[in-house]
Amino acid sequence: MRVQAGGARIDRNRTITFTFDRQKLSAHPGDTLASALLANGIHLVGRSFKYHRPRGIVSAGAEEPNALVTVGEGALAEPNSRATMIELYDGLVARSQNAWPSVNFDLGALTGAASRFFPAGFYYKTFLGSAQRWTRLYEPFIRRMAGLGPAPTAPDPDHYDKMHAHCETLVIGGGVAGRAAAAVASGRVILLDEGSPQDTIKGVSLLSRTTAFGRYDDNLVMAVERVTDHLPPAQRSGPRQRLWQIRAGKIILATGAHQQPLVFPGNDLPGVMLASAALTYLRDFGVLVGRRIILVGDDSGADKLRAGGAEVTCFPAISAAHGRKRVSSVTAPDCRRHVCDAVLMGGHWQPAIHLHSHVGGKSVFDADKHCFVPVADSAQPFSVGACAGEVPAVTPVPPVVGPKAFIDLQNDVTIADIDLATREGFVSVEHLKRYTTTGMATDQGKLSNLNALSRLADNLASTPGAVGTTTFRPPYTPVTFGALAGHDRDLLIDPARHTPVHDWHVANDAKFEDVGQWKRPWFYPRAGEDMHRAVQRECKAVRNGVGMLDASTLGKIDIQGPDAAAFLNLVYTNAWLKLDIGRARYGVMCQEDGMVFDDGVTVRVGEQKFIMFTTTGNAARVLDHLEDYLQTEWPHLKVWLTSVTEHWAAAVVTGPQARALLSKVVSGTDLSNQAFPHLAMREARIAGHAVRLYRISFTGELSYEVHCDARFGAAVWEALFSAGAPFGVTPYGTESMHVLRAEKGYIIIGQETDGTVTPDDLGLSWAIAKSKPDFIGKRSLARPDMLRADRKQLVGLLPVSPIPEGAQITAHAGDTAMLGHVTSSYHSPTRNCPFALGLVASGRTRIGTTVHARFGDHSVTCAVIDAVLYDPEGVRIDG
Amino acid sequence: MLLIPCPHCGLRDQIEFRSGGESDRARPADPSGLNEADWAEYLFLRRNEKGLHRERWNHASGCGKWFTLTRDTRTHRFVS
Amino acid sequence: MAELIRLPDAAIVALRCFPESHAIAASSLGVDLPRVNRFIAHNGLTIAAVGPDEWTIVDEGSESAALVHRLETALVGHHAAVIDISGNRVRYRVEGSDALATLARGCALDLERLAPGDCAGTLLARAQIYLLLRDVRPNVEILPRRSFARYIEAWFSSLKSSHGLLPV
Repeated sequence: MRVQAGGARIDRNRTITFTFDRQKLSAHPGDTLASALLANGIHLVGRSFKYHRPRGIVSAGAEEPNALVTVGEGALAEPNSRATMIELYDGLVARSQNAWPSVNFDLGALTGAASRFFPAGFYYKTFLGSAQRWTRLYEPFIRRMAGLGPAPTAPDPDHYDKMHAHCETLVIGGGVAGRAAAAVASGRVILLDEGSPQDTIKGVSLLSRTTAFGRYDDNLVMAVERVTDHLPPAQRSGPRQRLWQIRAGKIILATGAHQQPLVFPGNDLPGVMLASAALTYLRDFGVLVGRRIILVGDDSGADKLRAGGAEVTCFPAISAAHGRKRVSSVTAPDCRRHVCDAVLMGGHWQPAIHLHSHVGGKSVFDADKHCFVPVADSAQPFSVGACAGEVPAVTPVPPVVGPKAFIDLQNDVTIADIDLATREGFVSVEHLKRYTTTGMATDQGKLSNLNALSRLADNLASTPGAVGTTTFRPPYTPVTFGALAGHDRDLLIDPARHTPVHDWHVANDAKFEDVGQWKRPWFYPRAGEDMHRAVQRECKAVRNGVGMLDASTLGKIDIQGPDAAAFLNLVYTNAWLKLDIGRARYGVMCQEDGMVFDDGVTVRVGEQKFIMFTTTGNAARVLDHLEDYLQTEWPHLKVWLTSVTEHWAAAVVTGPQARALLSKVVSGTDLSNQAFPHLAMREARIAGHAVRLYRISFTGELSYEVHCDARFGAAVWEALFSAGAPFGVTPYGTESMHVLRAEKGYIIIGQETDGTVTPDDLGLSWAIAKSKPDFIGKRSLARPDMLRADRKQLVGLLPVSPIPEGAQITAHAGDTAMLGHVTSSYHSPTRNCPFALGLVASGRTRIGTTVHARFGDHSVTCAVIDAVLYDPEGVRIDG
Repeated sequence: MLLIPCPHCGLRDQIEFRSGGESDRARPADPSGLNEADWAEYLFLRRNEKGLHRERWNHASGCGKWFTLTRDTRTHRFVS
Repeated sequence: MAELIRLPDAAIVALRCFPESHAIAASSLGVDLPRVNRFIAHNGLTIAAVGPDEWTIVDEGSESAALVHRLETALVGHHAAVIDISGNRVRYRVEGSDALATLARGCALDLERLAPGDCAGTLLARAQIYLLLRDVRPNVEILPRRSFARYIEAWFSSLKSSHGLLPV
């Protein structure tokens, strides 16, 4: 209840209202939800994780294990919020968790009555059997019975901000020690304070309501600033929270210490709390947690509580606390019962060494203070104040074994569970944690680890120092996913890359496909068309007329220097020394392990100048691969590599009418086969812009790639498209591109290849220059496994009905032994039947036989054919 | 998140870099002259040191250069 | 908050060369090549050293072909490369008193420690950029790759919609 004494943080002249479990209550500005509940005499605030025991408020800070509530409503609801950390505002709505139908009458408490059947390792011992039993029976049961608050299901409407900051000195902790350290620090100084704003310090950037939750290598600290959580929703503007990533020259920790609970039967009853917390509630909020208080252990606060109006009885220890939904009496060491309405645990103190320990800071057990203190280390932050071990020396109160003597309040782990685990052999502190779950969940053992490992040490006749602690890992306190995501959500979760022609595609009703980060036109449906019909139409247009594809996403690398040809000779499997200027060649690139890495065409633009085209998905990887070899293996080669992927916009004009289309807009070059043959390059102009024309075909038809400065990419595309109108030019997307190339047996990297496929597997041994002394992958291609006759080889498949990509290939319908798999599968627009490509063991020797494609319960007979289905003679390439 | 000393750009955040693994593994001058075991050793085997580890880094989002650093794999500290 | 202003497309050329060619390149450009992570603005040219042997040269006054020809001619016989990369990147100016705090939302560099004339290749959110501090006002120029332009604009919009810029 509220008393006249204390109350430094509240404004008694003003009253605000809030709701807890639909009950309307009043409080003062400055209250936390916990202090306001206690001021209203409410101690029972939730039910425990496993046994659904009534639980109250234990602490007054970040270490709170019990008083977890859901704050806010609807999509704004935040479960598992610590009532001790919630700054109250007018109209706040909170509700208790893990209780049904209510916190006062909870059916789940029946599990508490049966708690002797839920010992340590209960999950591991009980939930045995098939995976089906787990998913259908056990997991739904556990999720319903054990757990914390449910997460809201609607998208989070809040904004979250993210910020990088740099400083010479970062001080974490806004208490006396932290403020003193910040005041004398030099350079840029940032002080992080978990609480509400305090007085500023000259020369110090003070971040209030900000919790440092993790320390990482090289003095990186991550912190969450609660920007608007303390305001009523209607008054909030800007981001809800801000994630700070602070890189500091020096870190000073002033994170304080946590008083530890005592262990005795009934130590989890509402009304049993830390003595230090009761003093905080009195000093800061003018709240007395009880009228008849039993103070156990350290009794140094008794006078202050008496001055606040309480009757205080002190005991060095008690045997048990009693009560149902609130503590009502204790059994003293003399076995007499004493009536009370609050029990305060005057335990010893554990410095908050979490941030010290996150990056390997060592700690040592101080037997006098019975706590772990940080070991000073020049490679670790400097700790000051309580977190450095400057805590009161309090004689530990020995634990009392008995029913419901809890070690870990949040995980419902009792001292009996620790003892059982020890007897069963879980004597490593890390094993103990995993077996009993002590120290897990949102409080990460701030009030349980020390008691747990002290008990373990006692059981082993050892010491806490010898037993050691579990590893401290971030986060120190729970962090909202929204804060971690920041602005990187929805459409910004990964950059979408757009070509210079993107707006045209949108205006022409393209459906888009994600290819890596690129948005590429997938197909352009006309009214009433589904994807299949659109793709068949687009393919036929290319085969019979002319089509256009935006190929701007192709990787393009400028390669220059006197050794450029020699370099290409090393990175491609085929020969490059004798390519004429203005001519192009297809090349296959392997990794050093001999597996196909990328393929594409490279063009000799000048005596010492080449341009290499890579696949869209591999553009960056290929450049990295080449730079790696150039810089680290062959630095003597005089070659410069420059990415020009985005400099060149590229349009493919393909089909028997391609030349006719181009001749309407191209000036400055002769387009005839004689003057400009397949696999050649010419420079020309279109619509006033300089372009490069390449005779490169990925469809099997007469094709020109038109490349121009991306600044003019849209203009050149539109000029080409306008010129194509008389020919019915048809834009086509990646799906038709795939069908058209598959009819020609052209591979797609990442579809026909998966890092286990050699050039020969793909039927590309013609592209391996065996006479070259060396190229990347050459030695590996001579390994015995690469020469096996039963390697999987690329073949064409003609199935009797459609088959999915990824289907397994077997020799006979009933076989389980797998010969390979289907890599590509489409409907052929030229033959009007399903066709596929597949990697099949000894595939080339199987041409003319049949295999079976297996998927689900289906088995489809497929004729094995050559990979080239369409125009095997290649006569259409010249139009 | 390490701060990595790029020899050209100074200390930069780890996100700007790509790791290239163990350093000092020069590609053999004549791979075809190696027997199976020696080639497999070059291709597949790494020392995986606990302690001082010479490793390659590429300042991918910065200057694009490859360089070699020595890092203590126990502490993640770079040593010169 | 700070404004993101798209600058007009300009001619951009990459120059790659080693120290033995610096003097020739400098006499062709009329100004010494800056050392790595510095840039110089001179006669309508901005020359940024984005690597120890790589300069990105922005020419707002002429066609890229002219600049390429000028440099290539000067560097004949040198192991150097001059590449037209005008299409590769787009340019933005980030302007406003909180320009650095705005960029710090997505950039891990210690921006407060940059001096005018400093440049860097770095990441802004999830896009690689070149960043040039033109002026202490501050006036920062960023050059993401062309295909990332819409992403960068959308990222700035997201910052604006959360309109919660607080002084650092």
